[in-house]
Amino acid sequence: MYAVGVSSRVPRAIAALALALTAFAVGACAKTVDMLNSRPAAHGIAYVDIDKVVQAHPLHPELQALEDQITLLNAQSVSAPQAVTPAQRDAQAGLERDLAAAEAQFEQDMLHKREFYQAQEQAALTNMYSAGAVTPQSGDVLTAMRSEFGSQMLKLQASGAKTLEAYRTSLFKEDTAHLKSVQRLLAADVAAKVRAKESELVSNETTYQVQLAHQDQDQRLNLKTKLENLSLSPQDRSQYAAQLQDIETREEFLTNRLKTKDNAELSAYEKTLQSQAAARFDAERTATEKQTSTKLASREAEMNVAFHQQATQLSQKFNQRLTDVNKAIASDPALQQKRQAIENQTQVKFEADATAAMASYRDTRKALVDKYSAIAHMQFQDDQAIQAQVDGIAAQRRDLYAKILDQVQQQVGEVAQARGIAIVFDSVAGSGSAVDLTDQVAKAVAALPSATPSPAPSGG
Amino acid sequence: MDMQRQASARPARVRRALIAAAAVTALALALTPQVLATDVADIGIVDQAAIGNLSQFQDAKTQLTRIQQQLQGQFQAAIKGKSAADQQRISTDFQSRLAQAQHQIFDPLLGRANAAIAQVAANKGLSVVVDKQIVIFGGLDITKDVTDLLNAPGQVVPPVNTPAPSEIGYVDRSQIDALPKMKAASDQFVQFQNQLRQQLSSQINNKTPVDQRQKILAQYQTQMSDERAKVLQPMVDQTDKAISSVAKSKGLLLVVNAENRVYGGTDVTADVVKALQ
Repeated sequence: MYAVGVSSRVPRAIAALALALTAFAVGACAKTVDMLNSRPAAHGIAYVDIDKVVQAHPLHPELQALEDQITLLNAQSVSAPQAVTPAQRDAQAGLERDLAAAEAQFEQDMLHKREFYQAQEQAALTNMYSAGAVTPQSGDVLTAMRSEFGSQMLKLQASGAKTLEAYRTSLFKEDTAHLKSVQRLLAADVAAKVRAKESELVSNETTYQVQLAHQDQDQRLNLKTKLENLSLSPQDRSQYAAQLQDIETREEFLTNRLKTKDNAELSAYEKTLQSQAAARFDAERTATEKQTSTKLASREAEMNVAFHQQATQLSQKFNQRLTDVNKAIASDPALQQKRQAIENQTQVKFEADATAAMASYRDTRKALVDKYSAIAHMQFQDDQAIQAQVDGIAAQRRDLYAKILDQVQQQVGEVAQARGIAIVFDSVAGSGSAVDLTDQVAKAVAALPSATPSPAPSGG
Repeated sequence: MDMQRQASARPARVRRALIAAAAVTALALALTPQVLATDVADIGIVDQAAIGNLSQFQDAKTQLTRIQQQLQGQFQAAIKGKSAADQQRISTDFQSRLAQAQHQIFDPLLGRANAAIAQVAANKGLSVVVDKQIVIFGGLDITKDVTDLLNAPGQVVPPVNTPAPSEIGYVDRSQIDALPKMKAASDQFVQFQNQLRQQLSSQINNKTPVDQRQKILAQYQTQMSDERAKVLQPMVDQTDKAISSVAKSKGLLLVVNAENRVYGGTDVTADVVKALQ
């Protein structure tokens, strides 16, 4: 009984332990399921050694072969034969010079070809858009919009120019009237001053004449008295008459001299006045013109601001409409198809032309290497040709590696999902407690069909 | 007797069955600790190449290229007729000027990008963000959030709090490579490699037959592989072991290279360096 009792207690204890463990496991699993349901990313972390996985890929030997070719070509490039004799060195210099010239020529040709095809493409596109080759409406709309915008802008400009011109004319009219008035005033002022001076001089002359007459009065009276004597001999009469005439002649001379002097003075005075009046008029005209220019500039600035605002509004409106129409054109599949066709056509033409030019260029380089090798009696090497080969193979290798990597990535995804892994690293410095999926993924990758076609070369 | 035997045999069967169940359960628990214990919702990934393609970075690159071209022109003019020593000195000076320009142009942009990554990471409760290129499957990609933030106008304010402790570690390889024994091994291998390449070059030219080429290449690769196994592999193994040991002792899931860590994470460089010394 005791034995039975003991034996029954032990299984119960074990059963309780197992139950507890099972309950814990179920609970943990349930928790995991909850986590998966609520947060899909919260679940497991792993890593793979991508190099090992790639090595397991059926296409890896092909990848390795490409790498080997690159290594060999690089080694060949490093081991270029060296010119030793002066003749060989001359030949090498000649080869390098001719190769450089051929390269420059080739680059120039390629540039021209590129420009030519770009221009051709642009012309075809412009023609398509403006003529509306595919959708006449689109081309017409754009042309009409451009025309309308141009017309509106011209109208705006013409209106502004007309307003400014009218303002300028009115200002000039005002200025002319003002200056004429100034001119009249100045002329009247000069005339008045001249008249006053003239009057003053005439008065002085009269006074002088009176003075002269007064001075000669006694002598003239005496002579006249003598001449009235009837018994006077003809000789004396003639003498006295001559003396009287001399007095009058002298007076007349002196009076005339004063008048001449006065006339000169009056003329000089008038000239001075005219000159002063002209200076005043010029000053007034300059001031008026300056004032008018300021007014015009100010008005022009105001009008420019207004024009700019109006033009901006017009441009914005036009651009908005243009954007809308362009959007409509861009979403027009027929037009896009046509555009794409033009671009593809140009690209195909350019590529064909460029390929032919490249082949010709390579032939030229090869011919130069052969020519100078024959001259130098040694085999020269064209590093550029080797590099072109390396680039071509490197591009093939890159394409193949990308293809392999895509497949590896797919296998990693499948393995990770199967094992409930949320994130897989492909480059780690060291592992902790994360899961290493390398072997499992490598196995899956190795089982991929080996007859996968090689990628097409992407360059070279 | 039979009854007694049956009675005593039943508990034994039950016990065996229960022990087996307990063992299976325990085994199941032992085999799936990571799956049950690990929460990877706090690991973010960001495509740094995509951020580098944003217009602000492209503009900066253009600006730097322009400066580089200007400096190149100035440098050519400056070294004209100068002695080799002077040319070297001038070259160092120009390189320093270029580096300075690079800092002036890129530092503000990188600072803003780092602040944006930190802000998005903090908002999403991430403890670590790594570069997308080291993740082959899964992960919470925050690239779009970061680029949206960077494209929006205004200042990007980094979070006040530091990131939460992370189960992802990172190690600075340059510090490990600088250890004397690592450097000595690396130098020895590079020297061997250069010698072998020279030998290879002298053995191959454009007239060498293909089969002979293949033979020479195979020999070259074998020698390289042997030298790598002899000189470098022990160092690689030691480093891997040290990193794994540190990772396990700190309860980390894995350790990435520092250049792939963008935000947060646990720095184990000092521990690894100490373990390797």
